[in-house]
Amino acid sequence: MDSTKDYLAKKLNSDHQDLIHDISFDLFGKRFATCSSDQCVQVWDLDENGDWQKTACWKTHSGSVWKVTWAHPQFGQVLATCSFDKTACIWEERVVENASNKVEHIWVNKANLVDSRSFVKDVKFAPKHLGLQLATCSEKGVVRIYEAPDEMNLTQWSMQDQVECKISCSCISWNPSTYRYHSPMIAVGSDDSNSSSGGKVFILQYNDTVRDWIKISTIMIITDPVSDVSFAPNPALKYHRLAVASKDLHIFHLKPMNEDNDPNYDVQNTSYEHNLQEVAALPDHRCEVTGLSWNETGTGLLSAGVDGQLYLWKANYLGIWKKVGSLKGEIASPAEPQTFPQNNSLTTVAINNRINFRRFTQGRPPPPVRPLAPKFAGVYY
Amino acid sequence: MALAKYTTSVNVGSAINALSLCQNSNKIVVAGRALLKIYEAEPQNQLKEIANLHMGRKQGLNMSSSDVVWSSKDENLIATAATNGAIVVWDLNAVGRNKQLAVLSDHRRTVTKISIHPKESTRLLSGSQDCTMRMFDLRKKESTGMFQSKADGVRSVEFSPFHYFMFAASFDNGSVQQIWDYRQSKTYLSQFLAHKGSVYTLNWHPDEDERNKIATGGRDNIVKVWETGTSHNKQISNIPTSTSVSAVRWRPSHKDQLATVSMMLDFSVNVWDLRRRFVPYAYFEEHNDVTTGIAWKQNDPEVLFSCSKDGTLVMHAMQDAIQPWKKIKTRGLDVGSRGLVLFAGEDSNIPARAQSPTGSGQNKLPGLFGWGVGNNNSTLKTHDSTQEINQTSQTMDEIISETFVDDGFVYAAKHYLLNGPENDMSFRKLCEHNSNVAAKLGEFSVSRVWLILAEFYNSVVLLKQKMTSNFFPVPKTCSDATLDGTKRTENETKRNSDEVSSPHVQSVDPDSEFQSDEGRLEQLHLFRDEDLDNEAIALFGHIDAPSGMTNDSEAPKQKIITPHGGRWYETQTSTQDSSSPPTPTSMDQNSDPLATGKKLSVKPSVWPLPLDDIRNQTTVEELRFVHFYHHVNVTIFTLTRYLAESGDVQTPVSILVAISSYPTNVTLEIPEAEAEHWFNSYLDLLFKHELFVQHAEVIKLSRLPSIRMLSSSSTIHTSCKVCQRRMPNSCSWSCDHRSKPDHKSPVLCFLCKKVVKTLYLYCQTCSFGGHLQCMQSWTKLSK
Repeated sequence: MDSTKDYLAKKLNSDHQDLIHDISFDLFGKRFATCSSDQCVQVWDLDENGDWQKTACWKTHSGSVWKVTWAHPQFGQVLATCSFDKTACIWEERVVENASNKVEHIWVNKANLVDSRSFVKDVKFAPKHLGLQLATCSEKGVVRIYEAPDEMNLTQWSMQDQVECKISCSCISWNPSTYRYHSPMIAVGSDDSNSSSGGKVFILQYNDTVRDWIKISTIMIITDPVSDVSFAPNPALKYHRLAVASKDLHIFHLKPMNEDNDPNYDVQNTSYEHNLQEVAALPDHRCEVTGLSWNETGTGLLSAGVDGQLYLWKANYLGIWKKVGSLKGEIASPAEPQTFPQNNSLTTVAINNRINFRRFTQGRPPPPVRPLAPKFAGVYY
Repeated sequence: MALAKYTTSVNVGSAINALSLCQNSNKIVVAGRALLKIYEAEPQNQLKEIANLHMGRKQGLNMSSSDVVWSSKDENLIATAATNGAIVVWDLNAVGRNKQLAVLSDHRRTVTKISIHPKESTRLLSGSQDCTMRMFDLRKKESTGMFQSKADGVRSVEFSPFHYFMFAASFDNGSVQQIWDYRQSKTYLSQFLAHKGSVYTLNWHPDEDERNKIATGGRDNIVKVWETGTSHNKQISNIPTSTSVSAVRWRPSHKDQLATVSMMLDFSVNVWDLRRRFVPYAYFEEHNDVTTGIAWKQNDPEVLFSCSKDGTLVMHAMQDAIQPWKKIKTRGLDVGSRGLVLFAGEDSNIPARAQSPTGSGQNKLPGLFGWGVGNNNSTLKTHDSTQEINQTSQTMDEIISETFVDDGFVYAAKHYLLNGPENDMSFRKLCEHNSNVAAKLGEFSVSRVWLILAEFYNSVVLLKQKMTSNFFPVPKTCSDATLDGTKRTENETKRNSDEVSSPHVQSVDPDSEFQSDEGRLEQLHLFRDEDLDNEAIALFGHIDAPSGMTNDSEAPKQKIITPHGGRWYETQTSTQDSSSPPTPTSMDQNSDPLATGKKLSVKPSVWPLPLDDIRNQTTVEELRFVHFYHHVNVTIFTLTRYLAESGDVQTPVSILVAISSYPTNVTLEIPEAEAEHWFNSYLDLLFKHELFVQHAEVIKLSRLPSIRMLSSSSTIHTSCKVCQRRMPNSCSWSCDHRSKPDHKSPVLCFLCKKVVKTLYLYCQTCSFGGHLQCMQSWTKLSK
């Protein structure tokens, strides 16, 4: 392994006319989609020379597009977007040759999910073993699960379930575990800025006995607004690993438990109770953490701060999470979307308020692992 | 709904169609189908009803107001427009019925909008569905002029606040907006296409410097801002909103901001900033039904009145508005499977484009940043800056700062040999090869694992023989391996030869075997049951065969139960040290609690007679072998599980596949669901890296039915090559539109581009295909 690690940065000039809110790679990492407040989605492909080429740009919504996400390629080239205009949309690519023999990528609107009464803040496809499912969360705190019963027919989506989270939701993440005794699980983060409204991360799980999605727990220690949550792609059975981007970066282990609370219990039954452990609280960003992304094995985490600083994290063999690298984009210092001049002062104040005083030094022992609550119990009969 | 401090609302009793403010903005008149009330905004942020003009029983259609307007000068003069075409003028000072000053019934259809001249408070202009606009003099109480639109129903009329003689009108057939000089009623000054569909609303800019600007909103969901002039009118900006716009009002003293309400679906009042056209600057959500009218307070740009079909009149304070752009914090960030990091942020270097319709120079335009994490990524060239990762000096950090993204994964997946028999390799060779692969990648622990594996399952015989038990190598066979084969009976030789002829039949045991090995099977089942117990007690336990076991000594059973979470190398150590006296543990639940700690003298109660039977039939070596291999299996299982839990699913799956590629029944006691989970994870990763050959190989070599099933999918999805549509459910290779000329071409081989007449071979996933020969040569080429 090379000891010098050069992180080469390249700038791509997108023609988006407003902030880019989300970037999403497809499964193979050969194309990505961006979405922006200018109501457009762009798709970029890697060409033969290794350059990124914009192959499509189209207006998707009549409002800011918050998130864009790819379906697993076995379902085709399918994108889902969600927007300020209270809808989520499904798009499928159609490649056509136009008159001058040039390949054109046309994205066809397959379905509009219009159930939400408020902004749809996030949309995510389920891991592929669950079929063609989709979860959305809305500003009013409603998480909706949709399913396309026929995988070949993207125009038909039926709402499977609807879970009220009470406070405004901002982000959502499916548990990618393929273990058959893990029932489908979703983490939802809330960006509610009122810290008195309690925990900001909810765990929803599909309960096979009642055939319903149920809120099984709330991570109570996170009371700051959450801007991103992400389950690690992790083949381990004993626990699920969840990263939460809030004021700090948090990593949790969610251990399924059986009735006897036996920690050595072998996961052989579907468990609806979970033991939550915070394994890391990483305040290094010293500003709000706004983005998260795991590497594909779930062993490394990349986080972005509101100041445009990116950190790479890995756990060492003791399970202690350490910063292993940092990246910095060429980003104008206050990364707050700053267009309305009369509010300049307000924004800087807000940033100053957000400075973190809990410094994390290299030599210090990691924060103790605290078990949060012994039992997130619930009776589901 | 708990309202914020300065936002006040009042329920007027019935749906409101329109509102208007008086000159100094402290009185509001609201009008509806059977409603005409006047409210006063009090200093204490309260709205108080001061007059109800809708009194008495005799109410005609004249009272069903669609619009209301307050005189610009006279505080006691208001006018309402009725749906039957009448315009009613009210004098608030009069008493009783006399309040109704005049009824002007010149229009024959609904009057949609009325406007009073900002300087001459008695000059009233009306627009109606009968395609005309009329000028009224309220003193004369009669129409003084008529303007033929020559277009369609009039949707909106408004006097210009600064051009004394000008007014603008918008129409239903849409598309047309006209500017008139009211002194010449024959024809308009200019007209232009404004929207697709009806133009519901227009508003002159209230700022004198911007006197030529008009904002229009229409059915096409767009708010447009026009610069009008005598020669030409041009669009200078637009705001794409989510629903059709029913009203637009410029915000006073904020020259780039305007408020809009929607005609349907969206009940909120949005305030937009032209410099940022896509995100509302602020919005209010107090209404539960369609908002019908808005008005800014004249002398206070922080206050906005709105009325709604839900019957509420709301006084909004800007400070209570929800400002969505402030909450936008998400940064686009994603890691691609090639280790590419993409991040979106504002870019200070890109100059704001001059051609941008907003013309504003302050916007920081978004830029995309890509990093190739890892050193081998040639897709990104050094463009802006080369950034070095902050290498820390501590050793521990260096260990963990190995690549963030596993470059080794692809290499290992490509170079691991999994199918030993196909490559004519012994298991040892296979393991050594894979160990080398891992060593090359610097994964020394994984490399060591392969070597250990080679040692454990070293015996060629073990991996070639067919086993009778599903869980353990059968003692007989084991003895073959350990005792130089002298005891091999004729029967077994025959069995071996049988097996050579059909090496892939693995699970079915002939009855004869059961009978000949009956005793052993019994014993093996005993082992098995006990093991299940162990599994229940702890994550793993293993039986240690004492080294000094002789024929006449009892076989004490020893269990070392490593606590959950123990490292695999601990187990491994204990395995290798199996010749040393076993360490006593306190967790042996099967033994007498009193005797704990002095195990060697204890005969576990679960270990009765069968052992004697075994002793009669098998040699001690065999028994030891069984013990040892059980031990090994447990160790390997623990090891694989450890690796999988630490995030490396490649090694366990490769080990499982490598073992199962040999015709053997060495089965690690991995719960099927768990193994399936590993396989699925690994297959997903292979798929992600487009290692389809390896993907297929793993599926093929897997012993799990649920994994093997993946390669025998029978669902065929095809689509037409020409139109990309799904094929109909017929057996033909042509789609429904085959009659169209461009569908006439016959089915071509994708490789040689010639017509396929007979067998058409194709990929089930991508539906590409062609001649059998072509496909064969292609797969050979691209393997």
